[in-house]
Amino acid sequence: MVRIEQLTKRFGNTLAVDNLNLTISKGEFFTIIGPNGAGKTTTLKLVAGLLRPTAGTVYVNGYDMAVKAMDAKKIISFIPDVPYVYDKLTGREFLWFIGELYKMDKNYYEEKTEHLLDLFHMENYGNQLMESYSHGMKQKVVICSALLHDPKVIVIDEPMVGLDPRSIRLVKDILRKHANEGKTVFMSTHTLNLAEEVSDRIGIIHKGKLISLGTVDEIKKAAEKTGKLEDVFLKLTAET
Amino acid sequence: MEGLKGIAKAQIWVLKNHISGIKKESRLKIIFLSGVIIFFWFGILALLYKGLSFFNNFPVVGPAMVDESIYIFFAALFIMLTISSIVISYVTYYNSREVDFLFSKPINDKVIFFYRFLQSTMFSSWAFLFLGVPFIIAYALIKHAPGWFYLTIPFYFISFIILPAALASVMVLIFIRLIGYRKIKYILIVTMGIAAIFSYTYYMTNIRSELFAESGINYFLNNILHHLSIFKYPLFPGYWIAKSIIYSSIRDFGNGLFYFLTFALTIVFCLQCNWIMAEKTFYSGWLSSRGSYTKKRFPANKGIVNKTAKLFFFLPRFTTAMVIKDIKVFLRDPGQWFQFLIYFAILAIYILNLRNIPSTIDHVDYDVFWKIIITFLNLSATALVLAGLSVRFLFPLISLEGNKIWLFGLAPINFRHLLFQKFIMSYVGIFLISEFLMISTNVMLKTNLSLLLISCGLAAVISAGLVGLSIGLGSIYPYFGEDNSAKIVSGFGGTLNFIVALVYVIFTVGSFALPLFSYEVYHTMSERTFYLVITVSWAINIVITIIIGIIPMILGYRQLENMEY
Repeated sequence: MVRIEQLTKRFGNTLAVDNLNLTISKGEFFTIIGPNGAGKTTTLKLVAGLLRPTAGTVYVNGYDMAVKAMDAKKIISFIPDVPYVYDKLTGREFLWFIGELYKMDKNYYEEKTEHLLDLFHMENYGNQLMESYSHGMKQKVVICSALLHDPKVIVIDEPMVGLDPRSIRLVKDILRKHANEGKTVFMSTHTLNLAEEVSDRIGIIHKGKLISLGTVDEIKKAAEKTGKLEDVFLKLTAET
Repeated sequence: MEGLKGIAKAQIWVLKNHISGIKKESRLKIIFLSGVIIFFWFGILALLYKGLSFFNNFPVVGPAMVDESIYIFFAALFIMLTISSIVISYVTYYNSREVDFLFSKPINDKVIFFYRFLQSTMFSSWAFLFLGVPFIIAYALIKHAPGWFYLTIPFYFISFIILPAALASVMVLIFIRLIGYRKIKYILIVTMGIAAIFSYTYYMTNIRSELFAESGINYFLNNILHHLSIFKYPLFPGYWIAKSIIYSSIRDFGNGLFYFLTFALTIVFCLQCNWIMAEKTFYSGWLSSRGSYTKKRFPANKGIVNKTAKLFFFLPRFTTAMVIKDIKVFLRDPGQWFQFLIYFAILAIYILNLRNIPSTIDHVDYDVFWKIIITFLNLSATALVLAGLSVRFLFPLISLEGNKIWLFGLAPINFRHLLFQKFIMSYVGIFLISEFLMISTNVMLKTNLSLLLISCGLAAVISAGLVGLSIGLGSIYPYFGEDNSAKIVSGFGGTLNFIVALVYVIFTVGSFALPLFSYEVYHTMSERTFYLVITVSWAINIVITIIIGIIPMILGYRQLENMEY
């Protein structure tokens, strides 16, 4: 579903992503973890088509992002770590606006909006301007907007920032269900417990390079460590 | 003063980083763009000099009319800067994330206040730098002012931008403290409405009846001078700065200094008021603004905007959605529509004033010369207002998408759609305003059909050029990190937009006015040559409009397409 081939991204002299190769299958929940500045967000944005690769190719459902971006964008969703929204629109208006951007059937997106607002306990706030929302509420609206068009691939950067425990549980369940239904989830997080709990496979990225890849057990085995993922992570990303 | 040193240092670092950012740009690009700005700045100076010379050469009343222009200019600019500073101060003090951050740190309230005050003053200064300074220099050249006069121009510039900002700042502090953050917009509208009704009533009862009683060109011009005497109210600060410039330009240093010091002392007084008010009210006002977000509900399928949207069923869905979104965001942002209202208030006053001119002209030796002069002055005034509107409201359109621009990068749409939507929406708005202005003003001026058609045609062409230019340059030089449109406009791109728009308007109007004068007034052109020249003028203007309007749009599109988020 997502295939990354020899992906490289430079910002001036800084090498953010270094010759990355990765395949994430249909129905897989893949999580990328790494220290700050390792290249996680850059990788996610490259996959979502929000950054242009310096070299290499990203395929989403077989579509080359550089060539068939429009086709790829129809089936992909990206949830950024900071929920930038139109403060002067209401939550409901924002979701309807997204429905129009994706040229969805009006009745369908209106119905889906109500369902999602209800799911995230936002139905009472749907008609209020988003300038009055808390960070978590805005994050919920952005997550709703990403789910609105039933994407086949969800790319999600630090999904739990600002969410209350109930919403964290809800998002985890939704994403897991999404993967179980045969769709793809590509997540980045610093919360190692979360990665360990929900992911089918994990990739550890450090200085732009994928230094470890596999299930949690495979990673632990490769690192010759037992116990918590945190210890493995600290060992693999230790500065020498 | 706690925090002062830190803020000052941070600003120096910001400036240094900004300069090093510029240094990283291609040297050729920097030289070219600087050259363009300098060229256009001198172009404005030359045009103002020509315009003032034209009036100065009028027999008897010419020099007096030039002096009058100084009074009008500084009175109008003072009022506009004050009103615009009210809006900018309101946004800069109470609607900024940076202020939230600063208040969370151990920084003195007054330091935060004056830091923001300086910022809001700077945002409003750029228009004066590109209009006010060339105007003073052009005036000085005509009056053959002494060399030292030119050295005083920076003092006039700095003092003239500080006083309106300081006055506006005191007003905002008082309003927020006494009335509250949410109610201030309603108070401002009511105040503006009352001021407009009062000004109109005063004008109709005290001024209009005294005007235009006799015929004769001298009486007509004297009446104009009399009519303009309201700009010379001796207790008005704009009058003091105008007086100081007039006296200084004729080497009357004593009187020039007296009026300048009067102005300067008023600045000191207003700054002192700000200092006292800031200590007592800034933090409490800011606190009250924090809890003021509206809990009002906006049902997504109700209201005039949603109902009106159904009329646009023939437009592509994306375009309709964007138009509705833009209109809603605009209407829910008082800072935006308040400034829009100011423009319309000025236009309303302007149109109402035109009602007097035909009756006046019927009484005097009114000939084709004046008819063309007034028609083209009217066209120029309208086009300049359109240029101001497009720079102020259209240039920031793309930037105001701000951090939300990722939505468009992610959605299955092309940036061509986004630019096309902005262009169409803006063009419809600007076109309707410009044609309304052209038709209403020409009807009031009782101009003939051919002049009316030329004016309307030119307004349509100019509108397209201005809209394309503003949206294109707004895409080439976006400022996504900023929500304050006044700050967006005050950057390099906004300044370039303002200057190019100004020169474009003057060129376009001039290219029709000059042949008409040659043919109708001076008879230096045969009818055949005249029509040939007018045809060529149309062709040149359409080509220039395409260049001015389309090239920035294409470059803006490329910029957005290649953008990384």
